[in-house]
Amino acid sequence: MKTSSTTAPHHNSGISLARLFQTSEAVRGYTLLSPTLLALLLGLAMPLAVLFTLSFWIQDYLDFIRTFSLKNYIDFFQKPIYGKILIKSIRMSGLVTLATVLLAYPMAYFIAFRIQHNKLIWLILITVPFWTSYLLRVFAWKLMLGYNGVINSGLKTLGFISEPLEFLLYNPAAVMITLAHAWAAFAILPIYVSLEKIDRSLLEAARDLGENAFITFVRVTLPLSLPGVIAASLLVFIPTVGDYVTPSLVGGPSGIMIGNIIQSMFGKALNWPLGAAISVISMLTVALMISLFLWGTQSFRRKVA
Amino acid sequence: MNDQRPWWRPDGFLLYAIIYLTFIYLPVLFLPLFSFNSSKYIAFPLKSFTLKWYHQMVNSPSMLEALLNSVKVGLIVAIVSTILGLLAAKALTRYRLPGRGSVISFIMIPLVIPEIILAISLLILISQLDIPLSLWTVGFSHSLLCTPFAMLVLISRMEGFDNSLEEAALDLGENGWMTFWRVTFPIVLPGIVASLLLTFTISFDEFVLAFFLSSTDATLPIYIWSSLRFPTKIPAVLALGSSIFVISFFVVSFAEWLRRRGIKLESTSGI
Amino acid sequence: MQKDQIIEELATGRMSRRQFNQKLIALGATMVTIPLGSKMANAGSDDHPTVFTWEGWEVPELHQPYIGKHGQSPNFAIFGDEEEAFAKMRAGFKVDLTQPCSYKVPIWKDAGILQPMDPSRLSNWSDIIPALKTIPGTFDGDKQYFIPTDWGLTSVLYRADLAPEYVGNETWGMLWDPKYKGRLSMSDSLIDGVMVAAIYIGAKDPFNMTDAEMEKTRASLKEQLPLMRYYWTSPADIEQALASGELVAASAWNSSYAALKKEGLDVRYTSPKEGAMTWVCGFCLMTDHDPAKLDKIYEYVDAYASVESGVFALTEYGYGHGNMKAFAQVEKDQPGLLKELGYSTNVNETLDAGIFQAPMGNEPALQAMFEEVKAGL
Repeated sequence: MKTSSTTAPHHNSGISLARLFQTSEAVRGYTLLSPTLLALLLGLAMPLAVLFTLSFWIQDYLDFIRTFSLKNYIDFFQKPIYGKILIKSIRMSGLVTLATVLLAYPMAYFIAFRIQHNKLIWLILITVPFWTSYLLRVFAWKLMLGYNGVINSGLKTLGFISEPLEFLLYNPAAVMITLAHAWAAFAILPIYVSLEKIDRSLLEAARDLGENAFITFVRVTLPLSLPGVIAASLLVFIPTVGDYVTPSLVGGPSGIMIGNIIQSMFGKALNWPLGAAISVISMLTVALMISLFLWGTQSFRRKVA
Repeated sequence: MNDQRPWWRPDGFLLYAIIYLTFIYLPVLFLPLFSFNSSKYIAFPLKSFTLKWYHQMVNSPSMLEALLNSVKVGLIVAIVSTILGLLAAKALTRYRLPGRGSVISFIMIPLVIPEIILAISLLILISQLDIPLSLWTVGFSHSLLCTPFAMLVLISRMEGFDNSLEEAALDLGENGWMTFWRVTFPIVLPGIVASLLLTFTISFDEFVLAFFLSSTDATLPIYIWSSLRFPTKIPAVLALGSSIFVISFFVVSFAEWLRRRGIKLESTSGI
Repeated sequence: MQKDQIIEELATGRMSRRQFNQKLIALGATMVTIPLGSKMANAGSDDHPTVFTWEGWEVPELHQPYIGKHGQSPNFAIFGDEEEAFAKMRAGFKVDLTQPCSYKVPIWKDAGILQPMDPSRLSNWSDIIPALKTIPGTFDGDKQYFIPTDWGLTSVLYRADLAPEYVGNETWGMLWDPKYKGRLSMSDSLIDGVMVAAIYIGAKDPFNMTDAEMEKTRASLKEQLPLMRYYWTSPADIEQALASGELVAASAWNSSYAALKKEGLDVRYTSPKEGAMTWVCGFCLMTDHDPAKLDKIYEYVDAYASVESGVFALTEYGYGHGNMKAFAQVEKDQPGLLKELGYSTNVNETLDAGIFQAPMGNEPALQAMFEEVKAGL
């Protein structure tokens, strides 16, 4: 094919195929998507099939009774323990997400708008603490919150308390503080990325129109950075709902989350089907929460726009 | 314009940034402190100064090998999942796709599905296919887990991307690849950097998938979690964690110092 | 970044792109210099067996004779938790040899992953403590599924300086003492946790409780819950906390006692009047093992069962060893150490005083009960 044509920038031969590519957005889109979709299909088809099938089977010592049964689902709703812990987990993760995103936003804003040169350095500075092992960071939090920890020792030296405070560690609050710390970078980065793309001339224009800084932020910056806020919320909320490591290290008996229950079903309790059913229910609940959240942010965006 | 203010001129945001960085760094700064403490236990009061944990660290080849394995897997995973995330984000933001919502939900599944289930089912699949377990199988599973992170970060960057830029480049006679390279890539770059950092961090710290899908090559998290049984090994892990932290911190600061000293190239987009 | 800025850049400057290129090249160079190559392709060396075991039990000191003969160690895959190891093997992970504790053997055997071993191929078999060879569930008539190599106690470890009234009056009841509310910890497991409660309430056979005993156990666990600082999942949890004084007492293994003692803390390891628990771990041959490596598999087990390994396990980890001659050796080299670690110089005396951990009847029901108690129901 000659390159003389100025209107057909693609140098492919096979005109009809090329035309199909040009005309159908869907085909072009899915072609671009195909490597990702294939990789995920390869990796996820089996786990999903296993998950759903297992959840309808029944554990019989080491074997499964492979006939369709709703027993595990009925168990979930009949025994108060699972629902109670699921609700608690969602509440805890929701609070963690809210705190993490709210605290991260000004930091991301600072990097995007106040830092002029080498923002990369700042991004890495924010990530570096998280390259130390998670376990070590949990130890560090135990040092901060623990019995003879920094906070207790500080308060004692200042004379506020005579005996160490025991309620700082091994409860849901300790789990939430540790999680909010652990996921900080996961909130800052997406928000920064979406703030960075905002066209500065828009902000200037708003200023020129006499809007004050706050109004400019609410009317222009916030709506434009909303995709980043959404991404950050999802990236923090979803993984923390299912976390089991943090609760088992700093949560104590009262800090248990649904991830611990699922983990124990596949390990100690040796009841894979019940574990699968609990997973299905918690995944669906999380999906529902996300839909509600996305619906909420959509309507916010429309209201502002 | 407010963003012309030099970064060092104190204002509320700078103050906030300092407080925030303190929150992020404070607990982590205890690690180097305790790595020089002669007690085996990470607890106050401090005993005496020692270098023996660093000595122990240098002399534990299995730990250093685990570190190397984790770095290798992390780098590969960061690149693979960022590429997969970039393709998906591009397709989802550039074209009007039927079933867009379902595609996004599908790619998000690795985030929602409990890791233990993903790990066990992948292991069943891999052993059915007679593929031997290795760091590659760990890398594959981590790439699955990290792709949604990459995609979400990149979508937030590319949403609202001005397609007329690409079209302009195409009109100027650039081919698709050059257009991507010269137009799309520079704009998306901050997103790519963020995605690489995030996915590396996740892979570097991931335990469950790594445990189930590795054979005799342990990654660092496997080494660390299993060493909880004999806590005598923890101080050496602490020394390693501190070294990683301090070395990366200084490499970054050194790079910044070089940049400031060196010829000031005119700034582009900041990154 | 602004639109015309980009177009301008496109037209004139290549600065940023050149920078990207440089960065990309640097990254590429890094990737080339750390090839994923050889070690990934074949995990470890092909003609040596793969052993799936606990971290800390793979150290060269525990199998010197094998290294002496072959110049290297076998391949190791490491686990930190038997349940996860079991799940991994059932999902298809193939190894030659594994090292669980005795109470897990019947379940693993029922799952069809274990195969009997031939003790006559081990030169050290005659020195193994006889009481450990006949633990119920680990052998089947003349078929030996389990070569016992390591053992120890589960008992109360406490700070004598913080709870002096218990010196000489040691009981599991320490873990139920309201005086130390919030400063006690028990294992987050059935075998080292719930079974302690069963022993404490005086169940006739803690490992096969009647319904009434089970309800009593539940009640005592509920009573204990508010007193717990947390349930521990690894020795690291309790050692840190006992060292800082956050905990006064916890259920623990010998290794924690040995480690804390070495740090110079005033800790004691009790012999509770209700009886301490004895755990035993050892080797099991996998059904999936590579027959060509069978000789080396036995050589490894034999090396692990040697006196020198036993001396290392006792002196470094504080764990008992299957080889009884190791105890005599340690007593000769370091008189008094055994007693300090909680072992009698006559090994059988220690074993007789303890309660052997056995497979638990109705494990799922116990687990469900424990989860409910922990969740406050």
